[in-house]
Amino acid sequence: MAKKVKDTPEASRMIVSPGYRAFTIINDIVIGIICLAMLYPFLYLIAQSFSSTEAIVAGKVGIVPVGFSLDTYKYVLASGVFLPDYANTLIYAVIGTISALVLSSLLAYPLSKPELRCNKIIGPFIIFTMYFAGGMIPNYILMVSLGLKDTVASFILPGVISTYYVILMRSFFESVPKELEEAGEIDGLSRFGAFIHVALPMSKPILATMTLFYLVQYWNDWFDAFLYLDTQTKWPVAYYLRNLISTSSSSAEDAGEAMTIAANIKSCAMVLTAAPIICVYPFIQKYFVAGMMLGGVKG
Amino acid sequence: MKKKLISAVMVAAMAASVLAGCGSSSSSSDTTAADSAASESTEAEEEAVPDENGVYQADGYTYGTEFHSDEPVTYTMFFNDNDAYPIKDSWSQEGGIFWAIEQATNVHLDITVVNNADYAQKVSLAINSGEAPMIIPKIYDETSYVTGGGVVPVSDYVKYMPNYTNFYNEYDMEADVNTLKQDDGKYYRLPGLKETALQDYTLLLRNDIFKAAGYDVASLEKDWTWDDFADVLIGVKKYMVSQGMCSDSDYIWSDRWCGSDSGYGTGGCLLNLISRSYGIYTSWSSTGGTNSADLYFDTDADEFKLSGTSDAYKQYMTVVKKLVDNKILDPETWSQQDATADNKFYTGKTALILTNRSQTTAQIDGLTSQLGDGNFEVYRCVVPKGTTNYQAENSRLECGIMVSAKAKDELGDEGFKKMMRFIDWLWYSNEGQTLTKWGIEGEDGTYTVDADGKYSLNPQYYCGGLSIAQTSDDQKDMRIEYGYACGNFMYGGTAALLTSNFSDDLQDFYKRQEEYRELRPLDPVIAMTEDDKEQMNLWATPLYDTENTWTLKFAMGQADIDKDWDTYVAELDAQNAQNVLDMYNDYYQKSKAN
Repeated sequence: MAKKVKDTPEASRMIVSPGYRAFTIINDIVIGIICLAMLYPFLYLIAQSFSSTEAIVAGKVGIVPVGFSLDTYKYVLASGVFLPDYANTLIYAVIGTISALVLSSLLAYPLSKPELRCNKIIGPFIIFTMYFAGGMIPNYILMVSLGLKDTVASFILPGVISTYYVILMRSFFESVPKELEEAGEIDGLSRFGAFIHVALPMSKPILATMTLFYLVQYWNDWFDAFLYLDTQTKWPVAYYLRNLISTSSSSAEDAGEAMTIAANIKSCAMVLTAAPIICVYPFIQKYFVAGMMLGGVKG
Repeated sequence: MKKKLISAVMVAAMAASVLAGCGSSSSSSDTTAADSAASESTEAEEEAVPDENGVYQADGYTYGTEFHSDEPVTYTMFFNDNDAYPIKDSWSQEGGIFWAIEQATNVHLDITVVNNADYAQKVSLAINSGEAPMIIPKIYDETSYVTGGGVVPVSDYVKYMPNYTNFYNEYDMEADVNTLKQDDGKYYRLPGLKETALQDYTLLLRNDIFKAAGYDVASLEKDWTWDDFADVLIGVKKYMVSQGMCSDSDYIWSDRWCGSDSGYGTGGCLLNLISRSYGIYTSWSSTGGTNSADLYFDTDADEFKLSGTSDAYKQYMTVVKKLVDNKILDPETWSQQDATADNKFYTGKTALILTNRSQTTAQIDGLTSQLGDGNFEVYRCVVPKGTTNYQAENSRLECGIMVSAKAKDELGDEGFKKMMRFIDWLWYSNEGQTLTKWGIEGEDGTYTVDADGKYSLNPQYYCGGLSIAQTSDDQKDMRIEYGYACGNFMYGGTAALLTSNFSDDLQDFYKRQEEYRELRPLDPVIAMTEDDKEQMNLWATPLYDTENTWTLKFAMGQADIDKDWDTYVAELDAQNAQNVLDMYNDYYQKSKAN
């Protein structure tokens, strides 16, 4: 019996050519540098948020906090605006994402069925909205006429169906084997039942991706809040943040009025707002990539 | 088939939009016609007479020096919210500004809060979609709303506003207000009226360093020109280098309001200040106004000329070059964030910075936190002279109020008149202005006035907005707590009221400013037709951009004012400079003939 080749380090080292090894090392270094460049602003923000204003003004703060204190966090959390806005964002993101998933999949699924003849008419209409939008003022008038201005719906509805995501989902649904759904129907499922019990469970990757996409979209959206929400208590945290960090004022004459907000307060609000997404991202990032590929293959 | 269908849909959509366009334009012209008819019919009305206190009686309310409605009324209003003092519930509760207004007038203001950064955009959206609240304050530029019919020509209604009219007549505001007139001879924004133009922006110097270097700024500032000033700074730098405070390659001046936050790529506040002292306009002076091509009026030649190609421009840029070549003025000034400039000043790396009334307190706090109390001395100096002795600011107008056309439909003629009189009281009467600036008088209120007429806040308050610094930890900021002294209401008034909050230092500065410098006469007013305005914009925008690009190139030392002058002028000429001038001067000649 031939001697088994042991999978020792020596063995694997022999397989890898020196050129490839050099390539890997350089690759690692370059990627490491890029990672650091990406990471630095975040570390800087975090360090600022824990530092004293004096230290920041003096330019002493790098990636390590100087004059460490939790006062900024206490201040921001106790401001009476941040936490309620944060709660708003959580509510909007959850409601928004769930409704977006339900509505988008209900639209994407029938579109993936070539035998439905109206798709040829409805499809182009949907794609049309990708290229031509009504514009800000018509949308605003629409919201007002529907009586939705200053309601939570006005924040959630505009983003609830994203054409691009629907197209991604449609492509994915197209890849679900028709035979499986037919088998389900033979066993007594209705068309809708086949969608719920066969197509949807098989589409978990795309659903996970879409959950993330919509979640991030609602989490970061401040513009719809700016347009439609007039009551401050309804504002999401992204809008609070936007107001806090935007120092640009509406005109030159007005610039003197814009006062400087301490850098540590800005950083603290940014860290707190971005934290949930940053924490969740690494764990589900694989779905992002996979989902895009899955949806994209047939698109 | 598919293609046919799509093209059919497109054609239908296009036809629909064309028809919709026709419909809305005809209806808006109808309302304009109705408006002017309405204003004509009311013109015949008899003049009301006030009592000895200046109070007029009307059906169901009083107006004039006091405004009080018998029945409670509600007016809707936009509110420009500032992050430095965001609106709070306490503003509407007892002691707060909205509560105080309601107490005084029986008017409830139903406000829509919009953040400062997005204010102009939201106003535009609301007016264009016909959803604007009745009162739209804090407007700097109303020209884009004039033709849409969304806002009323307020000039038709000022005759119902006694406080406004009295102020207008007493301080001879006609020439100033005329600058707002559109080509129909009306104006669409009730401007803030100031008795005098106070130069807000100026330079804050580290006087301890200047003194140590042997410069007595207090005696120099009276007559110094920018060229002298540059020499002084060269001397100051020499001193700083000799003391080891900086090295030869460091800059001792790096400024705010010029870079990415508020410079708008034009060199911002500083270039505005310098160019104005040379009698021309660049950067800030032309971004907000009607004159986007940087034209200045040459009184001797009796015509408009282009700032960018004038001799004064060359002289002004030569001074900037001197500052840059001698490593005084940091070229980063034109690109950095305001906070970066502040930090350089606070840590003592630079010896001067631009300031204004509301910034000074923060700047002194910043210096104290970095250098320690008593280790520095600052001096607010009078801005140097160029070829003229003019101070930069010469407008006695401030931002103002637009009134939505919808208000007239909703309130009816009489109700609308009443609202205008409410606006008149709140923004233009001394009583209203004092209320919104100082709050409630008395020991239980926010301020007191002594026998000499000197205003002071009660000891439990300080106010950043009024430059009244905090002296103990248990004090509250009146503006943050109650909303008084906020930018939506506080900007106009008599000189006495405008300066009522100024510290002795500031009073002293304005005394010197008034003594050493003079007010530039206003340029003649040009009101163009809508078409010409559009044509002018098409020409002026690229012209202005080209000029700005070059101005910054000169200021950063990337181009040389002597060597590259001809190329620069040729580039401006190629951007229709002559057409712009011709159009402006044609209008001017026509307006003179009338």
